[in-house]
Parts: sequence; structure tokens; C-alpha cells
Amino acid sequence: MVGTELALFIMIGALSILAAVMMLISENAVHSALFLIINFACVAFLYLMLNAPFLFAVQITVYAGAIMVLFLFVIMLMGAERVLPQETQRFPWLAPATLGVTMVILFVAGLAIIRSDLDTSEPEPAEPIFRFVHAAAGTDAVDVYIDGEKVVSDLLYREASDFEEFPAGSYTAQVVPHEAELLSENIVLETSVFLAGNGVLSYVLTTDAANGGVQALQVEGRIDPNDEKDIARLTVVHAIPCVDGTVTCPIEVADITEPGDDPMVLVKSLDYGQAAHFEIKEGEYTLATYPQGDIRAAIDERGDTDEKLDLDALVQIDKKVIEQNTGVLWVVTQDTTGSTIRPKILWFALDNNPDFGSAEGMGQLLFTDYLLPFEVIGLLLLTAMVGVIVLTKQHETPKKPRFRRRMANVPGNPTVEEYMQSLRKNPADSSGD
Amino acid sequence: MDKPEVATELYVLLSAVLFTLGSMGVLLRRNAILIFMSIELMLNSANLALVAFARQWNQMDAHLMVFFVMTVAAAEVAVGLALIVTIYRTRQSTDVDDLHALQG
Repeated sequence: MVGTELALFIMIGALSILAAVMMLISENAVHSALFLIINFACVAFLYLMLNAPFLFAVQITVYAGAIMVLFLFVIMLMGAERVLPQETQRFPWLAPATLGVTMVILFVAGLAIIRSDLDTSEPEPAEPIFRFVHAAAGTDAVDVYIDGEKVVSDLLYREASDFEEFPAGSYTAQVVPHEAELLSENIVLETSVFLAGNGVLSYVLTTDAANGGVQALQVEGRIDPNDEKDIARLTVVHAIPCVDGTVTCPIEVADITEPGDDPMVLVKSLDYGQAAHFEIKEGEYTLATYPQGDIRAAIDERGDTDEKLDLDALVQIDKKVIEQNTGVLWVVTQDTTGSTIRPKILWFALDNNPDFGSAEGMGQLLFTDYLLPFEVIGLLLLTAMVGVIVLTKQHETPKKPRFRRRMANVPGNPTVEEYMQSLRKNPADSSGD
Repeated sequence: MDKPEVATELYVLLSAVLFTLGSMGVLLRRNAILIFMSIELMLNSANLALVAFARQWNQMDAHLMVFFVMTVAAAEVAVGLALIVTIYRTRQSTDVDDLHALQG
């Protein structure tokens, strides 16, 4: 039983080989160019099957479009479409020798590929990425050191750092106030960080309710690609310290998207400094946070403006579109800009890696890791452009003095033009100069 | 990651076949334009292998390489065709066997 994809591959592959052979043996250069376009289109389709939609588009526009138009233009311009087979080969042994050598190379390569000398083992897991989210109320901007190396600088309260990439392994993370020396008395938090391959980790810094100081919560963000496709992961972190000074003040989180008196409670009791994980379907959500058990307050507030929120009751309602196959980190913190304690919910996408092979992913790579090669290539194109102009420029050959006919029977032997001019000047004097 | 339906080996094999055809074209055809087309065919087959390995290793860097190869190919075609046009102007031929001015 041959699957659809395999059948498609065999058909497209055979067509591409056929087009290549026809390109080689056709005697008309225009036909060759058209066969080559068919071959390029086949390869573009294979790119699509190989999860490279951006390259598919580039292949069609640049190769099958621009480059082949250039070829056809030059062929037509020179009128050189008839490629007559040569009658007298300069090297009669060339054709059989080439055929033999290329066939041997193809045979060896094919044998190596079929015998699986190709290393097609499982790929190494990608390097893990991690970041820090500052959600510890009452702590100013911090710097984060990993094994003595500063990786995050000036991380403000309610902000998240960029993702950092580190090889998998175990590290020691130290958090110090911003611009403080890495000394033992300055260290706010020292914790070990374990990074495994392919991981996407967020370390949420919150105030330790029990002991004081800062603690770090590890939140995993990677979605398994083999999971159901319409699943999104939501992580809620409770980071508002208790107003009344008790050690724990658990909150409840409910999904109140659907109207009705019976909201879906996602988590019953979430203590300060704790995190809860859910798997939810994609869609637009209205989520409410409120003190444990006080569900009526949450429902009553639905759809109302911010001003009507019961701030003391710590009710927070937020709307968010959660897309499939993403992870969302929802940190419940407070707004410290005003005099009142105002709950504030921070949304962070856990893993914003673009799709494999997408234009977005290509752009991201192009403008980060491959910026220098990209610029060099641009320079190369510019040089090629100048080179083409220089090469095809018609060189102005110095004009040879044109041969002028001279009047043999006129004294002084003037040229015809000079004689005619002198005639026009003084018509009476027909003898000229 | 589950095994893809079309193995990477098959793509690489197809790429090898196309590359061989391209190299045969370069060696056997005597028309400069056809030689150029064959070079394009070879570049394309190399690109195909790169994209196949990119899927195998789940690394997008190879896609960038393909992108750069395409850019270089565009530059190469522009310069090469300009050369052919210039040669055609002086020799009225695009046959590479006619270009033996440097022969000793």
C-alpha cells in the first residue's frame, strides 16, 4: 500500500527527472528553458512537501520566474534558439566517457544512500531556552546571573526578560538588585536551574510568603507536537501578596466566558506564590480571579468597566484570545503605580517560536543569526549588477576619420562638402577656394 | 517525532539523480546557455538535498543556506548571461568549442 504522500513524491520526482532529461536532449534552447521551468516547479512542490512554504514561494518567483525569464530573454535576444548538433566532435571520446563517469558516480552515491550510510538518526534536541519574569512585589529591578555570568540586566517588576539560550545542563542562578555587585550579602535569591533539551522555561520570581525573600517558580512552556492540535496551555501564577497580612490568601480562577450562573472553576485554591497549569481549547476567554469562594463577586463584575471592580476583593477579569498550540503564562500581580493596590494581570506567551519553514521564522533567523551573511549577499548582488552593466556596455570605439571624396579637378582638392559650402557662400565664384 | 512518510533518503536520491543529469549537461552540451541551465539544475538539486536534511534535523538554518544559494545563483546567472551576450556580439556564436582564443 503506497500512501498518498509517497505516491505524490514518486509522481513529482519522475516528472522532474523527465523534465531534466528533456532539457538535456532537446535541440531548441527555448524548449530546454521551458523544460527547466517544469523541473523547477516540481522541485518547488517538493519543498512544499518538505515543510518549506517560504522556499516554495521563493523558488517559484525567483527561479521559475525571474531567472528563467532572464534566460528566455537572452535566448530570444540573440536568436540562438536553434542548437544544431555538431557534425564533427572535437573529442569523440568525450560523450561516452562522461556518461560512464557520471553513471559510476550516481551508482556509488545511490548505493551509499540506499545502504543507509546516511546518518538519519534522531536529531539532537534543540538547546533549551529560559527567561525570568519579575513578579515579586516590593523588590526593585534585579539582575540575574547564571554561573557568575550576567544574562539578565535591569529586570523591572511586572516585566519578563527575553528568552536566553543555554546548553542543557545544571546551573546556578543568582538574583541581585540591579547594578549591585555579585556578593553573598547582595544575593536576593540563589537557586539551581536545570535546563533539559528542547525545554522552554520561565522562572517567575515571587515573594516567598512563608519565609520572606524571593522564590522562583519554574514554569514549563513547551507544547508537545504530538499532542492534540487544538490544545493550548495556560499557567496561572498568583503573585499578589496578601493585603491583610495573613500567610496565605488563596485565590480561585474561573472561566466565565459562557454566561450563566455556573462558571467553570479552573482552580479551586491557588496560594500566593504558587502556579497552576491547565490545558484548554483555543478561543477567546474571559477569566476571573477572585478570593477563594467569593464567586458571586466575579460573576457580577463580568462585562463591567475597570472602575467598578472590587479592588479589595481582588477580583480581576481579563479577556484574551488563546491560540492553539501555544503556552500562555498568566501572572496575577498588582499595579504599583497608583496609591491603591490594583490587581494587574500580565499575559506572556510562553513559547513564541514561529512555525518551521515559515516566512516569519526565516525572517527571524535572517535578521539575528544570519545578518552578516545576508548583508554580504546583498553586496554580492550589487557587485554582480555593476559587473553586468560594465560587461554589456557597448564600448565606444574611437571614430575613424571618415573617407571623404575630394574634387579632383578643383584647385586645392577640397572635399565635396567644403566645395558645396564655398559655392553657397559666394555663388559667383565657381572656382571655389 | 514520528517517521515521515517519504524518507529523507528518497529525496537525497532524487537530488543525486538530478545532480548527475546536470553535470552530464555541463560536460556534453556545447551551447553556453544550455551549460548555464545545467548548472542551475545542479544548484537546484543541491538545494533539494539541503531542504530534505533541514526536515530531517529539524533545523531551519539549511533553509537560510538555500535562500543564499538562490541569491548567488541569481547573481551568477546575471553575470554569466552578460558574458554570453558579450561573446555572442564578437563571435556570433554561443558554442563553447569556438572559444579557443587562448589556446596555445
